[in-house]
Amino acid sequence: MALGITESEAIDKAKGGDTESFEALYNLHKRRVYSLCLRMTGNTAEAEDLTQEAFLQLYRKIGTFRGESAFSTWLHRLSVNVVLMHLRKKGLPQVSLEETLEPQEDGPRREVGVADPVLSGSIDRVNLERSIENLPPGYRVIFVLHDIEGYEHNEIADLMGCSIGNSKSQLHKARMRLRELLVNSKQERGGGR
Amino acid sequence: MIINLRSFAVVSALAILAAPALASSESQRQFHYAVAPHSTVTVANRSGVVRIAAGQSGQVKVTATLHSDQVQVDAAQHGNRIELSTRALTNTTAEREQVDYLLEVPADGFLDVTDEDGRIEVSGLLGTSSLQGDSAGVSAENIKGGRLQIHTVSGPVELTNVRDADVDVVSVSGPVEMKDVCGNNVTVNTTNGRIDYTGDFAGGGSYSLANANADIVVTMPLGAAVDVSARSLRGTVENAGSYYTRPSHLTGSPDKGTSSVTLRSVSGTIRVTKQ
Amino acid sequence: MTCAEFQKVLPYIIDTGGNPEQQEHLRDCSACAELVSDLQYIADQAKLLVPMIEPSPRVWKEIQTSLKDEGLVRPKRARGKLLGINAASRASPTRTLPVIALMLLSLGLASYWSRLQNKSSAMSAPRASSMTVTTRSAASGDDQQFLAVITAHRPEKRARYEASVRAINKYIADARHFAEQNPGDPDAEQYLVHAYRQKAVLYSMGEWRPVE
Repeated sequence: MALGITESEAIDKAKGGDTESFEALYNLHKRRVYSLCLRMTGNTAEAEDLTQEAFLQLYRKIGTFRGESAFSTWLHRLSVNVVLMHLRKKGLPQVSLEETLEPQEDGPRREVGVADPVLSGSIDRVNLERSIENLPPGYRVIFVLHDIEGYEHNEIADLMGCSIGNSKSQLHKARMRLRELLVNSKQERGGGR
Repeated sequence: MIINLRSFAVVSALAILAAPALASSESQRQFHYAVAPHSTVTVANRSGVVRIAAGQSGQVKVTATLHSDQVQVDAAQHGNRIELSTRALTNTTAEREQVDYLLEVPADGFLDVTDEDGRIEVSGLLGTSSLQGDSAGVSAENIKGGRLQIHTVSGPVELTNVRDADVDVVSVSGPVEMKDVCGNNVTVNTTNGRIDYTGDFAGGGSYSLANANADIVVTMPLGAAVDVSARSLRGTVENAGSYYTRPSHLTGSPDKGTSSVTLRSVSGTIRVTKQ
Repeated sequence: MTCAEFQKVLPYIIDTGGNPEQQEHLRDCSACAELVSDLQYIADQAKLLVPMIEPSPRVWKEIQTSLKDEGLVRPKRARGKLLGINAASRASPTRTLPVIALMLLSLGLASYWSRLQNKSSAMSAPRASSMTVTTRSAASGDDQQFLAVITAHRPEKRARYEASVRAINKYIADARHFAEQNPGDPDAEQYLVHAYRQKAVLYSMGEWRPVE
């Protein structure tokens, strides 16, 4: 960290309004927060605005942080809430409130019994990032929260206001769509089996 | 652009040989003085280039090219002091007052040059130089030791390979560019002029680069022994991808032989890069 | 169990492994096994996506502005050890700001105005009797008199010198404001010194004119 102070010292000083400590906390967490916002929205300008809003909310509320959880976890949840609120305002379809177990029309189609090209060992991270960007917004949010950010389905269900089953279903669809995108990408590069 | 003065002798010779090729209204005057060590040379010019290079000790050689017949060069020696000044014979335009000076001076002397509308270029000096421009630029290269004082209003200042010298640069809006400049005391002060420093801040000296509303850009090698204190009141301080807005020690730690570098701006961006 | 039946429940069992029948199907069906392998691989790779992307500097700048606007930051106090102080103290032990500023400006102004008083050539500047400025501070009247001399001898330069005076006055005003808002800040004095030096040097440069 800048200035040679620990995170907890910076938090204490930030509670007292010390700008240098605000900045230290910002530098420590900006990448994770920004990456989260960017992956969930897929838009650089929106991600920057949301990063700004997330940190401002952090600074407004930092006096209430009691240390019961890790600061990074607290900031992360705050950031996710900021993004989700933004997405709700935009009216983007995220997940349906309830979903049957029947296959959805928009889900990836697959012919049962037909062998697909194998992905294992062939994904590069650039392609994965690009494929994530190309996911439909609703799938992308769930995928980012669960597979990248490590939220559990029950946490996602709380955040998104949906059921755990819904969260699992959407995650599965997201992964299936990514598989499709990555396989297509691999075949275009001539790496298909 | 700094002009290489290594072939100064050739330039002088060409200037003399070219005399017959001067425009009809142009003329040339040459002066040659014998001086003792630590002589003083002063030049007061209105417009035209003043180029000064280190020459033989004990001698001052001057070639003045007058671009019109409306201007005159006054040259005088008073003991160990040589005084050169441009005098307008009538109230005329800057173009017609233009005089270009080429000087060879002892390296260890005192130099005082004022050139209002023309460039000043000095090279290879060891002594004390005071260079005052206005809108045109001032450049100094291959300076070792002594003291270098440069003032301009809007003219750019370029310093290259200035070693072990006390450097004092003040410009209102002229950009200041320094490459391999080091000394015991290096001070640069502008209002709106950008300041660029490339070098290692060698010598354990004190460096102060300050301005109000322009960027300060510092590039130094990875091994530079420096302690950098940077502050921009309303701008940002950038160091290797991280950003600070309060006084920050960016690199190194105080130690014997470590140079102290102070970077201050009111609203400019201060950028420090180590390569 | 068919592949269709297996894949229907796959979203809900992929993390838990499923019941014995589902596990058996997974063992026996290469297509479903490859599908599960691919999906788990995607999830594993996603966890390795390190947040390397940085927001632009604009983000922090705007956060700062908002922090100030919302009063979430407290006024600055004198900092602790800054080596810049050591360097400055080597150069200038004096701490009284107005005295330093006046000294700098007075040195330049004294020389400047004394030349004007001694000069008998026609100038549009006010009479010498009003130019006892060695004890005056850098007020706008001085600037006007300085610019009047510039106009008298170099009218084509008036605009540029006027712009320079304005820029320097703003520098001085910014430095003063900073000093007033941050009493005790060791940098406040240096900012003022730099700003006033600009004015002193500009005045000293303006006094030069060719011999006529």
